[in-house]
Amino acid sequence: MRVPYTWLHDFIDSGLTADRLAELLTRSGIEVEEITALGAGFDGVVTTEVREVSRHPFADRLFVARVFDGKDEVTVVAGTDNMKVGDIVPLAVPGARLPGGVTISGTRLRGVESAGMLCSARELNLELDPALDGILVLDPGTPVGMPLAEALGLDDPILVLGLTPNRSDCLGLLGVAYEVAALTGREVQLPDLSLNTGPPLHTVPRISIADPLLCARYSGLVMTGVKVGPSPLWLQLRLLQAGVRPISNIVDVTNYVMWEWGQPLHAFDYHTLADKTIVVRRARPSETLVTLDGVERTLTDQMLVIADSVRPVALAGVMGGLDTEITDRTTVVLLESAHFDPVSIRRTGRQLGLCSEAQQRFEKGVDVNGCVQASRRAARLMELIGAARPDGTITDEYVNPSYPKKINLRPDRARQIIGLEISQKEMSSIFRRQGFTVEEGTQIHVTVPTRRADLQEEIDLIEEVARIHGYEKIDATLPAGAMTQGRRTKRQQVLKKTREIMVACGFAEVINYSFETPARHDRLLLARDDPKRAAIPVANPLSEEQGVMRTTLIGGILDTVAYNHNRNQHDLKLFELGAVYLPKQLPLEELPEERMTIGIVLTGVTTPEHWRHKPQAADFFDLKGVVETLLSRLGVSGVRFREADMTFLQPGQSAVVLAGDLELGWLGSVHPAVLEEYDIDKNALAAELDMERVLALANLNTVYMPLPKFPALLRDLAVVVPDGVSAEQVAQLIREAGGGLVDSVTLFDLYRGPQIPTGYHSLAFAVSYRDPARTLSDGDAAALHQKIEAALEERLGASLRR
Amino acid sequence: MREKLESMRELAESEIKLAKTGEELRQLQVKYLGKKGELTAILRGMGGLPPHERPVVGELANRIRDNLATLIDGKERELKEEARRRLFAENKVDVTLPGRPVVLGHLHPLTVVMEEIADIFLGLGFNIAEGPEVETDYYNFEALNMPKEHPAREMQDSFYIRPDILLRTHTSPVQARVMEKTAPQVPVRIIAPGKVYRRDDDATHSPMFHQVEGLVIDREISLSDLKGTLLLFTQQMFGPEQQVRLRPSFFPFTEPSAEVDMSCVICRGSGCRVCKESGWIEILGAGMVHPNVLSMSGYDPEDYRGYAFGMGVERIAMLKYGIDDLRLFFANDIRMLRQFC
Ligand SMILES: [Zn+2]
Repeated sequence: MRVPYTWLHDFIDSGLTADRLAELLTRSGIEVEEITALGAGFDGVVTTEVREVSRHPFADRLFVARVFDGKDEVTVVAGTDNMKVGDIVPLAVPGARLPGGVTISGTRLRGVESAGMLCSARELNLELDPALDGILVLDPGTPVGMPLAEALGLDDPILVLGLTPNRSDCLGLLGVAYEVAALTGREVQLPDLSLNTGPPLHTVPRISIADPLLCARYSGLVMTGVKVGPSPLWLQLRLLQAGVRPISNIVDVTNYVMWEWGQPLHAFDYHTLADKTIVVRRARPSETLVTLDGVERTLTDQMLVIADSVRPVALAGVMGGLDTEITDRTTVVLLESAHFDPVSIRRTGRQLGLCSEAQQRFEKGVDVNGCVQASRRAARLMELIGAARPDGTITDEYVNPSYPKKINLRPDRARQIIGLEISQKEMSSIFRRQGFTVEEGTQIHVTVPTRRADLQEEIDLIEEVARIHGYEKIDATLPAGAMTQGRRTKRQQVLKKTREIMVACGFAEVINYSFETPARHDRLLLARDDPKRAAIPVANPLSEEQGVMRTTLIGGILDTVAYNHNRNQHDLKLFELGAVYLPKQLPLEELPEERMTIGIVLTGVTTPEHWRHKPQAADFFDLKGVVETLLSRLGVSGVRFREADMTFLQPGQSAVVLAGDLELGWLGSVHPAVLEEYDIDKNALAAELDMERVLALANLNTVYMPLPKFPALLRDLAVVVPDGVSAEQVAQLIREAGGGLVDSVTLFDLYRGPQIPTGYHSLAFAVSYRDPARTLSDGDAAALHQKIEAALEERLGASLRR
Repeated sequence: MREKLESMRELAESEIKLAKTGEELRQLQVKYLGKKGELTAILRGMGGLPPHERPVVGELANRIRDNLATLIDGKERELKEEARRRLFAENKVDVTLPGRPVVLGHLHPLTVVMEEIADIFLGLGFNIAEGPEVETDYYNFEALNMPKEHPAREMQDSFYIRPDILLRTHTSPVQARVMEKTAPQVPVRIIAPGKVYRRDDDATHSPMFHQVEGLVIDREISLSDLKGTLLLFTQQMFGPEQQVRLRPSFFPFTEPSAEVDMSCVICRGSGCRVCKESGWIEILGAGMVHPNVLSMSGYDPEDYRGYAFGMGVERIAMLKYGIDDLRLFFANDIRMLRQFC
């Protein structure tokens, strides 16, 4: 909402500069986003009075004018003679600069000296009524010899308000004036609103409201003696300040009054209305209306229309119809001032893609009790500018009245909620200053006019008190009451720990969007029936790229890898800890499961380049080590890995991660075909763990184990086993056969080669034996070792390698 | 015999002096002082000496043994030191060569900020609450005093899954969920960090971003408590000289409502481009929990009051680190991420 400073002061003398006023309003919650002005795109233009106009002695199409600039009379040559003696016109004196980089100099035109140039509106870049042709004739009474910018008030400050949606009352200058009254204690002055008419000359309109829920009130005033033409300059300039384009006097006045009262008005050419009848009703199915913009619109029965006895003539509150609009030939006008249901207006506007200033006001709520005042104001203005005069009185159908509301305010409660001692007197005054009726007892009874629809209950009044009294007066205190202990839940601790462990492992955290393109499922080569494809679609995504909720984090992290590869960052260790969204059914019938998940991707080399080391390409075991570390640090026991194929992982280098029999996730080398899809030309390893399951198993409690009292004996054990036998199987059997005396088993060598038959490989373990109760002898160890060897031979077909 | 000993000693001494390695020294030790060494061999001939000479020669022999042993020890130390000096010279390094890197990872800047916010409020006795990101219309709007067709719903253009399920547009639904679960117990002191979603994507809006919600419910809570809490928060987050300013505003679920500004972190209040010369920067929205919200969630507004606030994590991170582009947070450029720990 643009609030021209001078115009506002028609309603209240604030006694404040624009800056100070803006500060006060902003502090009260009516935010002034900026102070601007129309501004002049010119310099060196002054107002002059025409003293004489004559034809140019030597040129048919030129004229010579004598104009008085307050000191001297000068001669100028002009291209038109639309100005009369006594008119005030703008003169660009030699040296003046006009919009578009034009500089004026004194010249001789066909033998006549011209001391500058008389300007048209267009030459001054003023977007006035296009009907204003030729030299711009200023309003009578404009002072002579004044810089034009000043005479037109182009430097008049305009306060641009950023209103919160509850303050639609400030969509009219009058509402802003009441706010200023509350803040300054100054009084609001209303203009003369009386209506001086005799008996009507024209048929009195028949107005009926068929749908009182959608239209609470409809008033019509016939205006006669209509002379359509440009509005006076002052009115056009104010509209320009408001950001509204002047069109012609009748329409300009409706817009002008809307800016003042917040009440949209509409003007019909009265003669075009069949039977001089207005019916406010829902459109009939497939009825059509050509709106002012020339577009034929097909209506639905959800849309409220203004109809005459035959057809719709306007979309109520949204846009008028072309057939009934004001034209140069209009002689009688029906001025509409009505109240429509905000929701219905919003829907209609939305459906038709329209968003006029009038519509916006109706959507946000207009004061139903302001309709008639606005009509009267418009009638007075039309009379004043000679555009029309009222014929008869206002026909007012008010079928669904609203009344001022009486609300009780307990001053104590206000003080408790605000946390500040504000006197009852001050509270009452805050309401009285705005013109509310206030009765006082132990409570304050405030009668709130309907223009302040945001004030409905006590809490609204409390806010009003706090707001006008000033938030800046409120102290800073801390809540009293029982002490509480702030503590992370176990879940929060585990997730925090997870991040810390990943950072300690060298991984950088990424955050990707929770939605993704379903095309990622294809890029991951997911099978048609892969459950990851069952993603929840967003009904109104911004783009297909954000079409579904993610079911895995890996697609996003691989995109992050690709993004960084394009920036020459190839060695990446990334993780994301976030939710995946798994529907219980599709389409969704209830809220989906949001499973906290960790995705891990490793690509390039494991350690940065260094002069002592050749960097090594990351492999399966780098990632597996991270997964093992993470789970072990989170206290998840019984973790194991089982070979498993996944479409997006390289066969032979992919596994599921289990704790006992519970599947926690997967890891492996990303399938080269997937990397191709992502344009990643490096190796990449990926893992994903379901943190909900990890959380269930995690244990951050440390259990201290006493240090061993007796030494361990270390023996190496190398066995040759068939390729089908896994390292884990061998290690497990070593433990089993060792019967509790095996302290640790560490694989330190894997060998395939000339000395080993094809189809076999050799595994070398360091086995540490320890008895918690005594020192083992060499003999003990030898015996254990033998027992283990025998078991390996017998149960896994292993042979010993010495 | 004495001469024999003396000449052996001379020979031994010169040989020891000339020894070049520890190995040579050990051979000399064996050669002269070993069980089958020369000294022993000479002493074996002692039987042929007159008895009165025996002690004299014996003593001489012992002295020579001791001397030679000392000599060998000394020589050994000398050789060892020499060897070390050589080794040191060989292993001398250019101490300016880069050290071997220890690779640690990085937390995302938004995590860093959210953790910091959490720690501040944990210290104030707040707990951390969570709620779903895919949320019902009821919790996202209705329970927050935004019935259907409420114009304020349009302040937040939403992503819908179906007409009554959407991606939460703010963390405020957690307020309603927590109150519903806790009512009528007090006090409630929680923050709720998390992702939120709005249908906006331009230089200053991201369709997904992060908020931290705060909620306190108790019997005696006032707007001044809200101001005090937020003052403390900004001072801990941005420095002890910070001030806050409350400006009236509107949110359907709080009343009175406020926009909260803090002193501009760039110019420290003197006015600059970032704060549009005002010296203040808006950092969050807040207010007293609306009585309708209280009663819908099971608290009688006559007996209980509360305040709530919500802040944008990205905005705080941008102010804290001077990041000027919101989109950087979700581009995950490793060169950016590596700047945070
Ligand atoms: Zn600043």
